[in-house]
Amino acid sequence: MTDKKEIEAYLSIKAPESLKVRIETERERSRSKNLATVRSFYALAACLALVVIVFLFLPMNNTSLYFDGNKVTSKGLVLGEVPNTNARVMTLSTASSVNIPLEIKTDKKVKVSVTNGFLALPDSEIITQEIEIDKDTSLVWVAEGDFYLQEYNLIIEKEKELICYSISKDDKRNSIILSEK
Amino acid sequence: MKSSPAEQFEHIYSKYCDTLYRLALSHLLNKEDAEDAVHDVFVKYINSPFHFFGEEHEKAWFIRVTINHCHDMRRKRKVRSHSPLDEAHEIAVESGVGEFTESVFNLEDTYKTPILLHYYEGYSVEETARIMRISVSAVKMRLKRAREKLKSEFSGD
Repeated sequence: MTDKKEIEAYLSIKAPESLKVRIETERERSRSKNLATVRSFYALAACLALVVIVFLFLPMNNTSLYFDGNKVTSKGLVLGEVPNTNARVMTLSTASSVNIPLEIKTDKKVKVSVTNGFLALPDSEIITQEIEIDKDTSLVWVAEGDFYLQEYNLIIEKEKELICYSISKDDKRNSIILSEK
Repeated sequence: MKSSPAEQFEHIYSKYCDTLYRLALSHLLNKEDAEDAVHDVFVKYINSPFHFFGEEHEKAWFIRVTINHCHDMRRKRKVRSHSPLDEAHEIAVESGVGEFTESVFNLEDTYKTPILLHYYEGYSVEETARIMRISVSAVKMRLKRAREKLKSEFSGD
């Protein structure tokens, strides 16, 4: 149908060099954009990995003391009013023993000790001044002596950390309180 | 040994750029428009790399996308060419092709594409059918009608 010369003339039409330059520029731009996206992705992944690692290895303070279902903090919880007492705490006036029902919530092994009195585990014959626990545990602090004259401290030792609670008289509230030091 | 992405792209570009440019030029009748069309096709390829099922698939994709893009450009009136006959003549002169090819450039796309693919670019009827996604008999019919039109034009009928 067509003669050879027509076809050769047609086939001699070539794409201009400027087209190649344009496409190469576009390709480079696309590559840089993809590289930036990949780099951002890896940076984000590295940050997330770091956060996860820190989170996993960061020591968590999940050990707390509870009295009557309430967490004992530095603000203190009333154990009993002076001279009246909380129904859960046996009456004290002078020297006598007081049973303070407590709960220690922990997810790590801790050592619990008292400077006065002793610790008793409910439904158990264990009576001691120092006990090791590694899970949430209910215990009773049997405090003996005179609250006004002696110091009553309960210490929870966790790894290298000490949490100290003490029984003291709060004149403002006119109460005996248990608080975190 | 595996070639780098840059080498692979260079190979793809070298393989198709001239064919695509010629087809775009014959459809758009303007060099700048043809360059834009081919640029857009390669950008599409760069930004969404396709997985081709062999060279036939790859070839068909590039040619079909180019022709479709030329149609879109004309439809959206993005092309610079407004007087096809004059432009076809100008392109023919600039490109050094003869009157016959100029007449091919003036054909409707329905006939122009199979003529160019089969007689000029050298694709078989079957390949042309695959590229255009029409049947072999449809390609043969279009080629026949195109020949008749061209013959009529040159015989002065």
